Formats: sequence, C-alpha cells, structure tokens
Amino acid sequence: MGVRKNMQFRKELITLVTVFIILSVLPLFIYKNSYFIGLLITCLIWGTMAAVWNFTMGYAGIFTFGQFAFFAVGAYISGMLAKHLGVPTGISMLAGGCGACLVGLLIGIPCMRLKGSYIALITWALHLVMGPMIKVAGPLGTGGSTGLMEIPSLGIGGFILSRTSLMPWYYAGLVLSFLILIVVYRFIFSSVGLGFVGLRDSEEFAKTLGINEYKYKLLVFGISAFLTGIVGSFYVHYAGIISPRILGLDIFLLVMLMLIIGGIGVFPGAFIGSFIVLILNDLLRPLEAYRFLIFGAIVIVAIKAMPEGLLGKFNKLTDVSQRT
Amino acid sequence: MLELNNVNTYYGQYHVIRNVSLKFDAGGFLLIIGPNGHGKSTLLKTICGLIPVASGRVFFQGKDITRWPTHKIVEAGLVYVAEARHLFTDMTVLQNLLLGAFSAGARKKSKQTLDYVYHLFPKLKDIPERVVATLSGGEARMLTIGRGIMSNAKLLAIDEPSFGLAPKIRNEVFRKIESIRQDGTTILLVEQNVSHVVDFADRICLIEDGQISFEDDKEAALLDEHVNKAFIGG
Amino acid sequence: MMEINIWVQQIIQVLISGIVTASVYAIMGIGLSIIYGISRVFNFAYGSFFTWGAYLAWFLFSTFSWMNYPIVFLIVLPVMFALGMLTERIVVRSLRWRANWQVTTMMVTLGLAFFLDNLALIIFGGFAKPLPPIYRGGINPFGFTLSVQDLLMLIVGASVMIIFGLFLAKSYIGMSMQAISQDMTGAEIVGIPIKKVFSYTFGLSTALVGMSGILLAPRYYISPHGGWEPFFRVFVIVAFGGLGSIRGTLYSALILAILEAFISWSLGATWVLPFWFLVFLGVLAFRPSGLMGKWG
Repeated sequence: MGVRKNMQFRKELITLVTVFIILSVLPLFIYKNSYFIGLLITCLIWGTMAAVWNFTMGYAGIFTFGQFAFFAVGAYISGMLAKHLGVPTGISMLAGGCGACLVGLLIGIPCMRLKGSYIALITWALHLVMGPMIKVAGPLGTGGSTGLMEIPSLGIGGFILSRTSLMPWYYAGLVLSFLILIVVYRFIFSSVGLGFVGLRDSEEFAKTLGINEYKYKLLVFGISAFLTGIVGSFYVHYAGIISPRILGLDIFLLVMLMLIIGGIGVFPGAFIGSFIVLILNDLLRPLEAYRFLIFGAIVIVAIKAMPEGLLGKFNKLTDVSQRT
Repeated sequence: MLELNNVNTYYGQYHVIRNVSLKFDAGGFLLIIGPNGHGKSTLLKTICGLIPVASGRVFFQGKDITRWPTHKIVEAGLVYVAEARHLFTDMTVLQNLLLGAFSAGARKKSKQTLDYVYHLFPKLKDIPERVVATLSGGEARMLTIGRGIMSNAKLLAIDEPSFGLAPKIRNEVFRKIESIRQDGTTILLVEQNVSHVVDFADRICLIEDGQISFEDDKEAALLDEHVNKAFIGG
Repeated sequence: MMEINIWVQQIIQVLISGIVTASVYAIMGIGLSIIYGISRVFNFAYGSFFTWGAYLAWFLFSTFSWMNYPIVFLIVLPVMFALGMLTERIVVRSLRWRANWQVTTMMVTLGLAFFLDNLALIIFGGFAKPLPPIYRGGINPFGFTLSVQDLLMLIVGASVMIIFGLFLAKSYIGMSMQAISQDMTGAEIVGIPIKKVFSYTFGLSTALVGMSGILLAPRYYISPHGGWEPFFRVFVIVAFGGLGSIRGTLYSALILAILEAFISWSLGATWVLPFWFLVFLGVLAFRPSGLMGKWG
C-alpha cells in the first residue's frame, strides 16, 4: 500500500475520532469507579475484535466465524511465550499476532476461492476444533482444560503495568484500539478497498476493475487474523489467565451481537456496539438464565429489524452528501 | 394478451429496463432483438416474474400480474424458456418433462401435453430415461422447450434457443417453435441469430439500452434502415 | 446351539449397537441435509430442536400417566413440524432476499438456539431429565441382546428412511425438493412454489430432529444445552458424507456410528468425542468439499 497524500475526512473518521475523544476524557469523570473502568476495558478489547471481524465480513465480504480462533491463538502464543519462556510481552504480542496470521493464511489460501457460505462453515469448523486442540495440547504448555494462569502483565518500554491499577490499562487499550481501528479504516477507505466494495456489490464488473479478488481477500483475511491475534495477546496479559472457555458460544454470541447492533459493514459500528452490548450484559447479569434468553431474542429481532444496525441508521439520517 | 406499462427493472443498482411499454396480442410471434447486454433477457425474465418489477405494470390476459409470485404466473400460462436452460441435470428426460407440468392446471393435462411434446420432438420420445447431464446441446434445447410446453403454456417466452447450436439444429428448433405457434401458443422470442427466424415472426421489437427503440410489424421492420442495418441480413 | 467364539459374538453385538444408532443418526442427518441442500440454510438451532423434541416428550410422559410412545410421536411430531414451519416463516424467510442472507441466517439461527436453550432451562430447569424406556427388557435373537429401545430405534429409523426415500422420489413435493436442490431457477420456471417448499422442508427437518431427540433421549439424557453434542455429530456425519447429499449422509451415518460403537467398546466412552473431532479434522483436511456438498 502506498502512502496516501491526504486522508479524506469522511464521516466514518469523524465518528471514530469523536468516540475516542469521548473515551479519552470519560475516565476523568468516573475514575473512582474501577468496576466501570474494568468494564470499559473489556469493551475496548471486544469492541476492537468485533471491529476487525466486521471489517472482514462487512467490507471484504468474507463470511468468517473463525475470528475467535485467531483471538485464542494470539492469546495462547503470547501467554505461553511470556509465561514459559519469559519473552518480553511486546515481542510475545507480536508473535501472537504473527501466529494467528499464519493460521489465517493456512486456512485462507485454500478457502478464499470458495463461495461465501462455505467459508463460513469452514471457519466455524476452525472455531469448533480450536477448543479441543488447545485441551489436547495441554502437555505442550497450553494448560489444557483448566487453562493458563499467572501470565505476566504487559510491559511497555520496561515499565510493567500493575494489575491493581486499571487506568494505565485503559489508556494502553485505548491507544491499541485506536491504532488498530485506524488501520482498518485505512484499509476500508483506500482506493483498493472502495473498489473492492464496488466489486462486491456488482459482480458484473468483477474483472473489469482489475482487482484480483482472491489476493485481496487473502490479504484481508491474513491481516484480520493478525490484528485479532494482537487483541487476543493484549487480553491475555490484561486478564492474566486464559482458558478454552474463551471459545465459548456465549462470548461468540455477544460479540456477534455487537456486529449486528452496530451494523455489519458499517464502520465503526461494531466497536460502538460493543459498549452497548457489554453494558447491557452487565445490567442483565442478575437475571441469570433470562439474560441469554433475552440476548437470543435480541439477536433475532435486531437482525430482522435493523439490517444496517444502529450506526447504519444514524449514518443514513445524517447523510448530507451523495455516497460514492 | 400481454401488456407492459412503463416497466422499470433494476439489477442491483443498475437500471436495466427503462420505461418499457409494450402491447401484444394472442397467437402472434414477437421477435425481440437487440445488442447483447441491453436488456432483452432481463425483459423476458421480468415479464415471467423471475425478476421483480421496480415500477410499472404487467398485464397478462387482462390480469395484473406485476406482483404475482412466479409459480402463479406459470399457472396462468406464461412460461419462460431459459437460454441457460436450467434443466434438472441429475434427473431423466421424462422426469424433467413431468416436472414441467408441476402446476395444478398443467398436471391435469400432463398426459395429453406429453403426447404433444413427443409428437413435436420425436427424439425425446426415444430417450425418456436418459439423464439430462448426458444430453447433447440440441437434445437439451428441445427438452427445455418441451418442458416449457408441459407447463400448459399459453405464451412461451423463449430466450435465445439457438445459443450454442449447430446451424442445422438451430433451424430445426426454429421450425419447431413456429409449429408450436401454429398450434395456438403465443410466442415471444429473444434472439441474436435473427436471420433464420425473422421469417416466422409477425412483429419485431428492438431493444437498445433497456428501452424499446423500435416496435412494429415485420414488414415495417424490414423497411426500417436502422433495424435492418444492425440486425437483419447478418 | 452353535458354538460361537465369544469375541466374535461381542463384535457382532457392537455392530448391532452401531447400526441401531446409525438409524437415528441417519434421520438427523437427513434433516440437516435437506435444509442445507434445498434451502441452502445452515440451521444452528438444529440441536436446540433436538432437545425440545425430547423435552416435549418428557413433558407428556410426566404429565399424563397413561402416556405411551406412539401417542407421544403422534403429538410431538406435528408440533415440531409446525414449529419448523413457523421458524422458517418468522425468523428465516424475510432474510433470504437481503444481502448476505446465508450468513445472517446462520446468525439468526444461532440467536434462536440460545433463545430455545435458555427457554428450556427456565421452563424445565437445569437437571437432566430421563425418558421412560418403552418396555423394560429386550429380546434375544440368536443369543444377542437387543433392548426394546434399540429395536424401536432401528424400526423407526429404517421406516423413516424408506418412507422418506419414497417420498422424495415419488411424490410431487418430494420431486419438487429434488428439483430445487438441483436448480432453483429451473424449479421456479416450472412453477414450483419455492417459498412453500422451503417452509415444508424446514418443518420436515425440525420434525425429523425432534424425533431423533426422543429416540436418543434415553441415551443422552435431556438437558437444556444437551443438543450441541448431537448437533456436532450430525454436522460431522453430514460433512463426511457430503453436505446436501442424502445418500452420502446415510452411508456416512452407518460407517461413523459403527466406528463410534467400536471405539466406545474397545477404548472406552471418553474416547468417543475425541473420535468425532478426529473425523472432523480429517474431513477438513482431506475432503473439505464435504462441507460444500453436491451443490457446492
């Protein structure tokens, strides 16, 4: 990708920057409430993960259900390297991302040629096998079903984040999220990205634009795996523990709901959706079994009633100029 | 029998059929010609309910069929014979024909219609148990038309039947279509290879850019320079 | 009485057990196959319907003391069929004509699965429920043991397969299903009411999996999230045989069920799930086209 001379100030960018400005100053008002800060950090992590997923699905049209597998790969690799081999977390995180990317390419190379729904099933299959594979690899250091514990905390430039104070984590997470989302943004709104979206909407012009669909999809898939792996790595150093539970269907549903509510293919909808979903999740916690009943119902209603998500609706309302 | 009023159709974002109005009587043979990709096929599919009408109305035998589901349109006797054939490839010739008579009205008369189809296409009578995937181009084309007839069609909308066929078979197909017309079925035919079929047509309609640029009876068409030059005599 | 080697006798017993299970797996596989082959929908709530079929049966058995299996089937199957049609109509249908419908359908059925599972949890509680056996005891043909439950599974399974095969080949609806699965546009062209067939297919699929839930309940015990394990098995079976191919599903069910029986007998029950995962990995690695099926 070449260097762009000037970035267009699209509505999406404005939305993104606005959100992050709000997030940056928010702690000043609530820093006493560490529970809420913790919740926000969770929102950042899963929101970024959702945003990358959304990018892969909504913009590149790759119907993947395998993002959690990449998250887990990134988390486990980074966690294991840091814990068992004492690798500095900065490097282990990078390794986590690369490992996830490798898995992504391994799956992607044969699969990106396939039609949409088949990629969905195959990546779903990847998700299904990842759990048992991690359990089976217990002797190799994954911790099996119980998982890995006492994973070293994040170290930034020699300074190790303590687990007792959440603010540094919040801002570290904020920076990471922002960087990742900007990368996603650049991808979506590059000329190749926009052209690709146009390609997706009208197969008639597929060849004429000269964009190699397979190569682009593979690139997007690999990058999304990499970024998701990085998010997973950040998570594992924040939480200090990881287990195959991370691949549970309940978390899957929640993150999927973020995409739906935010709007599949709307940037940065999924990221914003994360806050809505996780805060709602927290509020509904006392309801126990009713919680997931409600979420199941919300998924159904949201998909049917809001195909473009909340942000999609917002975008439509505030659309002043013609969309290209 | 068939009437279109200001019909507009889209393919995704692309405005393919633009404000087309057309009127056509029973028993006739309308030939639709025009450059590739300008909407001939799309027009046929729109009429037959395979593509939804964005605006405008379609009337068949006086009834407004614009919003009718495809199977209801087929039941009414408006049948599409696809260029891409869309035969059931893992089934036999006979199974395909019988499925053609799926709609209730057609099913009642399926025995008679089958006899008629065999009479028209004796070749099919010889090979009822052959799996469609093994058929030759000409045989498959005949089967496609035959299956359309099985639907008890009052109007057959045929899309480029000559596509991919050798000249001799192509002409035979055209002759069969003409005899179907003679037996009472109205014919709407889209074709690229017009030279050999123009003789059978009553009226000619030229579609360019999704719009009708000419529509009149054959004599007038042959006299029109624009139509003549571009498509006939080639 | 002929003297049969004890070892051979045991093997045949295991074989019988495998065949019995296969007959139910086959039904489940058909249900999933037709949904995918005809509607092109992957129903993530399949396992939940499995559970619900069993729960409804349990409810009937525990509420009415005079209840028996034939009546249970008579009541539950139409209910499941109606549920399936309802699901298709309300949840799935409108999505079809929208962008990315196959993925949104997966998502919405996943939401439905959660909804159904947790509804079961709320209504029936978290403790696993048993279904009464039809008749305690069994028969002993040629010295082998065959419980009445097993016999029922075999008979029902085989009957369903035969009836379904006939239905598919001879009835107009059955042929319309085949037609749609081979060429959907062609089916439209001959006047097949596609939407109605989708509805019936979904209903049929749900009824089949509900039936399987009842038949397998004594083995699996009914619990709210208990449908995922059978669902996974069917997924593997169908992928192994080729998603959307009925015949492939049948062969696959037979082979894998027998293998499962042998693994369970020779290595123990704990190795059963790993076995399924291994088969799954194998399918992914060597025959990913199985996930794509005939219509891939």
